Amino acid sequence: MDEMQASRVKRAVGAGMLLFGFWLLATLALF
Amino acid sequence: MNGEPGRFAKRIGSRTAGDSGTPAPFTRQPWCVHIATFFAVGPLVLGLVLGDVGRTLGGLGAIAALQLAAYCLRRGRDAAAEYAARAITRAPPPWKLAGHLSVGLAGFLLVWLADAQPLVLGLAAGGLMGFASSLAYGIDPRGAKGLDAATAERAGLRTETVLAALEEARGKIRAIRAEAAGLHSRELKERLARITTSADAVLQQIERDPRDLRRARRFLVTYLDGTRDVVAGYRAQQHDLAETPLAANFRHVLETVEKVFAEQQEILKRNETLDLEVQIDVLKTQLEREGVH
Repeated sequence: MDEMQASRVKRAVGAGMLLFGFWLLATLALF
Repeated sequence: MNGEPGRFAKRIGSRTAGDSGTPAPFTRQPWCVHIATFFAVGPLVLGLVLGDVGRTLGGLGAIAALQLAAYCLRRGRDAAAEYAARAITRAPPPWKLAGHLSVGLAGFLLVWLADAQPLVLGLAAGGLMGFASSLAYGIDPRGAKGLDAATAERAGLRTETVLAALEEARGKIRAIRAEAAGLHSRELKERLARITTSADAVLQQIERDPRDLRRARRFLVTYLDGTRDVVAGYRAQQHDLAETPLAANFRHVLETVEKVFAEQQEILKRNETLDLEVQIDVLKTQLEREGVH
């Protein structure tokens, strides 16, 4: 896995964490 | 070897994007942060409906923090792209770091204020979200680039001088682009676009070898200043000037500037010395003769 692929994976993981994390936090704040 | 063509294509892409001077606001937007802002609307609305102060303020605070984060991250990405495109530059201000902190603050507010959880859980959520943001959008470029003292020493210049001169010239090119945008004549606009592109190319050559700066500096200053003043003057009265001899003179001046910039670029490439003083006098004489200055 070269450097570019690694950074792409890192960005995708970060984006997923952001989206899922904020969705979860906002949903928890509803109940 | 794998991924090499992609990297090459990317490099060409970024180079042309930088040269044309058109930013790409759409692709530089941190979209995940914008979508996260949308999620935070839920607690805000529910808080208003139930009359719950904590939920309302938490949701509102998270929205504000996420929008601030989006702004900071966009600035950070612009700065990082510029940093990548330059051969010599200083580290940009920590825009991305400010963005990550702001994302963390939004997570903290959602948990601690909107959800009324203990402080520790809020801090943990904030930290996690900040970390996610740093994964997604990367960290700020650090350290000055291409500013090794040896290069500057060889050029007999201080790195500060080189940076200041480059920044000054870039500012002038930006000013010319801004003035050119207000011209009505398509032909003149295109001519000015070619002039600013070759001026950019001259700057890039100077970045690669700051020794050229000494030779090119006065030339750049005179020509960029001259072009900017002439364009600004013409733009202010272009309604009255169209199809008059003065408009033709203006075109002649721009033709000269374009030609000289192309020559200068060639000369820097061949690393020869040109009698720049002569070139500068040529422009001054022409500006006076054509009566456009």
